[in-house]
Amino acid sequence: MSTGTAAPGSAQQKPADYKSTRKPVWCPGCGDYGVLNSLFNALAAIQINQDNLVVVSGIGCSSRFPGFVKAYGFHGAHGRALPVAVGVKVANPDLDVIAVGGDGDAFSIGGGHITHVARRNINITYIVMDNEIYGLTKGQTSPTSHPGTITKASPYGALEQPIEPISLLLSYGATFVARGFSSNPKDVAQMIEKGIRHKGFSFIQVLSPCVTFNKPIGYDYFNARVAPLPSEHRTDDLYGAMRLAGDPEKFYLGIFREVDRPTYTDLMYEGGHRPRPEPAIDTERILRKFS
Amino acid sequence: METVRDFIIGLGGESGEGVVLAGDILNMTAARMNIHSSSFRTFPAEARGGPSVVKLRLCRDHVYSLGDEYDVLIAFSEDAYKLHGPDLAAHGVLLIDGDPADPAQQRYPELAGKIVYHIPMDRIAKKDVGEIKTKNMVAVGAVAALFGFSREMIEKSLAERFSKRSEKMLTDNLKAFTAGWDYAKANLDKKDPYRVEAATGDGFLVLSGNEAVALGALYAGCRFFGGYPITPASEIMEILAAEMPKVGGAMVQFEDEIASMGGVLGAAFAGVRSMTATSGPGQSLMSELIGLGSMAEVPCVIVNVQRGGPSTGLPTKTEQADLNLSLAASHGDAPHVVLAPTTIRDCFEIMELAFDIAEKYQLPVIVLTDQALGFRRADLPKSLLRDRSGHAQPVPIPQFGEKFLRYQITESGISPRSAPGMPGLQHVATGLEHAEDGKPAYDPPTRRAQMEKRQRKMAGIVRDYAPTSVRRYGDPEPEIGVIGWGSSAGPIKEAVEAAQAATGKKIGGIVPRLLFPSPNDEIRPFIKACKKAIVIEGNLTGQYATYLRSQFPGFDPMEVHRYDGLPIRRSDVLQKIMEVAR
Repeated sequence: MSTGTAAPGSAQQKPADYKSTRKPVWCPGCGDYGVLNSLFNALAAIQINQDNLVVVSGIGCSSRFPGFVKAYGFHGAHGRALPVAVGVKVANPDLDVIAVGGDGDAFSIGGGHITHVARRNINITYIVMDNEIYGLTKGQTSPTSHPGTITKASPYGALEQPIEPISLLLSYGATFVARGFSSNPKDVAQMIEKGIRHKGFSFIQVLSPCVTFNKPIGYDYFNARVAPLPSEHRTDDLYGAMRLAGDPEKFYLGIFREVDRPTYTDLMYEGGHRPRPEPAIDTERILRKFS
Repeated sequence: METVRDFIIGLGGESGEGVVLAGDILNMTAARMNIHSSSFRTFPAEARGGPSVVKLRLCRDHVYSLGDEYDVLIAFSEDAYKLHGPDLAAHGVLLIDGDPADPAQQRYPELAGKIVYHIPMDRIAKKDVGEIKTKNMVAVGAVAALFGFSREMIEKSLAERFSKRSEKMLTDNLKAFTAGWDYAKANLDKKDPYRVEAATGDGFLVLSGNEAVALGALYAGCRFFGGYPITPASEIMEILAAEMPKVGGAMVQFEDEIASMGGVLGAAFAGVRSMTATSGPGQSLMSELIGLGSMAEVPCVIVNVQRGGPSTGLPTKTEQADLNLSLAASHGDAPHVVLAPTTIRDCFEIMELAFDIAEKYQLPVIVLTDQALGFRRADLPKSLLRDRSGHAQPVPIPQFGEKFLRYQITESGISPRSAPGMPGLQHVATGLEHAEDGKPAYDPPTRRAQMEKRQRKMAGIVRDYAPTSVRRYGDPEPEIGVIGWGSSAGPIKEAVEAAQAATGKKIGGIVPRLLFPSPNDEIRPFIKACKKAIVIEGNLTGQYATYLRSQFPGFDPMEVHRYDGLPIRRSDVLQKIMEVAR
């Protein structure tokens, strides 16, 4: 949504200016490093003001994100990044709100929330780093793990089918739906930039391999299956997007859907901003109502 | 026959017959006549069908409880009489739907000797008005004529309520009201002593506990409400849905209670006074995030309008059984506050207190009301609202030394707090244990230091708020002492006063509004003085009594429990006191 909110007269912000002093704690080779760098590049491309930026997460390896960004952050409870992000954005629609998390946080414990955030089309950007595994708890199947996945908690192989996040978000009515791959950081940065600029809820799934607990689903696995979305795909073609998302052989990368719909806070507040100065309570009206 | 001006009216019928509206009209009319009142409505859990009842106590002075039995029962049918007849006082008066040619006394021998007025409500509504839905207004008309409610004021109320809906509804209801009034004037020979009388004044504000909570929050500067529908708390959400946009605030109906609490934390983090309101099942779901609020030190207010639990329990009935849940509130040692308003006025005023504590001490504050308070209405002075500005309270610019540390170790346990948008004061709020700068840290010294810092806030809360938190009735250091919490305060007050008058003994009551942390210095002299102490509460196991025993080793009170879904009555308390005083 933001179109460059850096304080007027402030110096040009570089990607490094969005880095906090904390060093990421991820395993060497983790896909999340690439996603973090892509976010820095996207923020610099838009010149987002760090004072107005809020990064919200749940729990998981990727949910450590807020600590690594020079921004206000809320590292909350498992699965609840989106409700917290909604609260932040509704309380102050002038903030740039980015929610981040992993596939377990987003689609398992927090799966009930995405539907409603998409439904509201609230103007936040949600980046889900999908590694098809629970990493922080040291390797159990996630909602995107494939049948037969062997972990300590599924020693005979997972019995469930995985969900396909892009199709889900498309059917929830999300107005911006994209998929990237952490090995293509430039593409992911552009996607995040477009997502942030998009007026409404933007969902970005980033394939981000776990090199420690999900070795079979590593860089080689994804490299063999990723492909750019066909150039003829139109982002307002819902069923075309559904067909491409559901391709069993390929992970198409790019923006599946991008359409305009009024945002939640635009509908809630006149002009999309909380009124300033705040209107006073009309006590005499309230007295009439209750007497 | 001496006129009696303080009396209790019961209205009973089937849900759908407009019993609640009839009660509302009478209650509002009384308030406009400057008559004090307390009223209560119950209806079945199902959307339609089942019994519906309103109790309306009218008085020349402010009353603190609903009192006991009905002096006047208005039965919309014989079925309603069968259900509510047992609550009619021995000297009581019955108004019943029916034909005087076929008196109810013939079928109900217990009515022999009682004053019974027959009003063919059904027939008048159907035949004379031509709209069965106006039966309730026929009843209101007859009641107004018999007991002295202002005809002009009721007609004005009807105009206010129905003119916006449809011309026909207004005409039908006015016609029904007049028909009921005329019938009573022409056919009923007033034999009872009950009659209301207008007093001077500019009328009262009449609020239910739920309405008082909602308005209290609004006037306390709350500008974000996140919630999920649940009986008996939904009204709070509905009122704020209407009011928030008018003051630049927001009401978000979330997808569940977990999300509601998440939204509240997010909005509070963004610097807006934020709350949710729910009932037991919802608070159970919120527990994890209430703990997050405690750990991340996010100010927030959670109102629980308690109903019968556990599980779905008694959705439309009252209980005080979520104390244990609220004392723990979360897993882990999670500093937070539990408040319990005692009256409707408290429901309004405690919201400002709740937000002030939450904001100053940066923690979750749970406010425990219950269905008995939530659905009870009482009169309040209009000045209650006029004297408050109700402005939103922004997060003050934090004061700090060399470096802004969001979780700085301080003597008070209160750390400097910033909100997004404040230049250069970025921090990460986190539910992980953390160092002063918010960075996750699990080493034992940091853990100890942060745990103790957060816990120190509790001592400050006791210091700041305990002295004014306690309601006292009767003798402050009594021989017989009654202790309770929340909605039982009114019955305790009235029972203590009645028992003092009846026995001449030193009898007192104490009802703390701050339940956690416990205002022990305020309670101790009272219980030390008691030769006999009674803890009365609306749950089966004596949750507050158990808690008090943990606070005061050796304290062993008698206990009175009510867990049948009904509010504690004045007579429940009085009976026990008299038994002990003997």
